[in-house]
Amino acid sequence: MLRLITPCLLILSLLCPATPALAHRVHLFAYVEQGQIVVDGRFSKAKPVQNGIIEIVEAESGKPLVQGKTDSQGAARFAIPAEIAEQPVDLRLTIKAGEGHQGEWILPAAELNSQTAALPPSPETTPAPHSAVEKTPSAPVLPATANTSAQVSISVQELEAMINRSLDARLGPIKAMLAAEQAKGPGFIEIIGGIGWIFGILALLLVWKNRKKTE
Amino acid sequence: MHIAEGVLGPPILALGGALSLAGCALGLRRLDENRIIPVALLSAAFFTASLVHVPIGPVSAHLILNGLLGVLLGWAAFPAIAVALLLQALLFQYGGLTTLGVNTLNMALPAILAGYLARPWLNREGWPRFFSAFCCGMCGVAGAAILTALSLGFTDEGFATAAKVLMFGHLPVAVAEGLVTASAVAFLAKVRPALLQRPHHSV
Repeated sequence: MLRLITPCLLILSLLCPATPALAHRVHLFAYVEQGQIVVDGRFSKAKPVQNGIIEIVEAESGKPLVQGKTDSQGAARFAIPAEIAEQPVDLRLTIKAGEGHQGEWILPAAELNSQTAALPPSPETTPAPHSAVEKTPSAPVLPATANTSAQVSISVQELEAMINRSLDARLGPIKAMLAAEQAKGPGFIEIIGGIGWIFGILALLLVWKNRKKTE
Repeated sequence: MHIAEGVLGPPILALGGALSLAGCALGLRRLDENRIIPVALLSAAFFTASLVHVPIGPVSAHLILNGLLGVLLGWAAFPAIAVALLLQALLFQYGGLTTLGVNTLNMALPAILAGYLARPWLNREGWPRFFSAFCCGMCGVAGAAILTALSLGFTDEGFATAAKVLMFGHLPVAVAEGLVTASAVAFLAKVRPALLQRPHHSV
C-alpha cells in the first residue's frame, strides 16, 4: 500500500507549478542601447523576473537616480538621466525580486560615455543620412576649403551614429543571449566538483578527529 | 530560499551567524567519527538536491532534503548544511558569504527540531514510521520557509508577504519532501537500521 501511494503522491505534488520562490539566485544584466539603459533580470534557469523592482544609483555616491519595474519578459528600459548623459559615472543597478532575492550589475561610465557621445539626441531630428553622403562627393568642387572640412566632419559624426545604431540592432540579440546564458545555472561538471569538495572537507574532519584520538 | 547579499541588516546577519556557529560547534562536538561518512553523503545530497531540477511536464521542481538531514543526523545536520551552503555560495553565488549564517540557521534549525520530534516513532514499523518521517520532511521545508520569512520581516518586504509567497511556493515541495523522507527512512530501516538509532549522547 505504502509503496503504491508514495510515488503517486510524489508525482502529483511535483506537478504543481513551481514559483519563483524556488529560485536560487537573480541575475541582472544591463547595457546601453540607442541612448537607453536596457535591463534584463532573470532567476536561475533563465526564467524572467516579472515585476522586479529596479533601482539605479550612482555607484560611488549611492545617489538614487531612477526606479522602475521589469515587464513580463523580465526587461526594463530607462532613458539615461540628463546629468549622467552629460557627465557619465559608473552606475549600480539593483534588482529586488522578493523572498530575499536580489541581484546587482555595475554599468561602467565608459559604456555610457561611448554611447551618449556618439549618439545625436534623437534620431528623428537628424537629417537623413543619405543627404550627407550625397553632399560629400560634391565637396571638392566648392571653393571654400573651411566649408568642405565642416561638411566632412558632420558626415563623420552622422556616420558614427549610423554605425552605432546598426551595431545596437545587431548586438541586441547577442546581448540578450549573453544574459540568458549567464543565468543558466550550474552544469554537471560544477555540481560534481562541489560534491568532491564536500567529501574533501569532511575527510579532513575525519583525519583531524582521528589524530586527536591517537594523541 | 537562499537570501542574497545586501538584503538583510547587520544585526540579523550577526545573530544568524552567531547561532549557526554555535549550532555547528555543537554538531561537530557531538559528531561520532563513525558517522562522518553518512554526514558527508547527506551533505552532498543536500548540496545536489536543490541544484538538480527535475522536469515534470511543463514545470520543474527540486528537493531540499533538510528534513532528511535533520532526522538522520541530529545536530550534525548543522555542519553538513553549512558546508553545502558554503559551497553553493562560493561556486554558484547562491545566497552569499555574509548571509551564510542566516541561511544555515533557517535550513538546519527546523530540520533538527522536526527530526527530534519524529525520533520516538521511527522505530515503530509501518504507518507510525511513515507518518513521522513524512511530517519531518514536510515540517523541515515549512519551518525553513517560516524562518526565512521571519528573517525578511525586518526588510521592506515584511514578514506577511514573504511568508505567504514562500509557504505557497514550497507547499508542493514540502509534500514531495515528506514522501522522499518517508521512503528514505523506510528503506534505511530495512538495510541500515543503525542509522535511525538515537546516538547515546544525542539530545
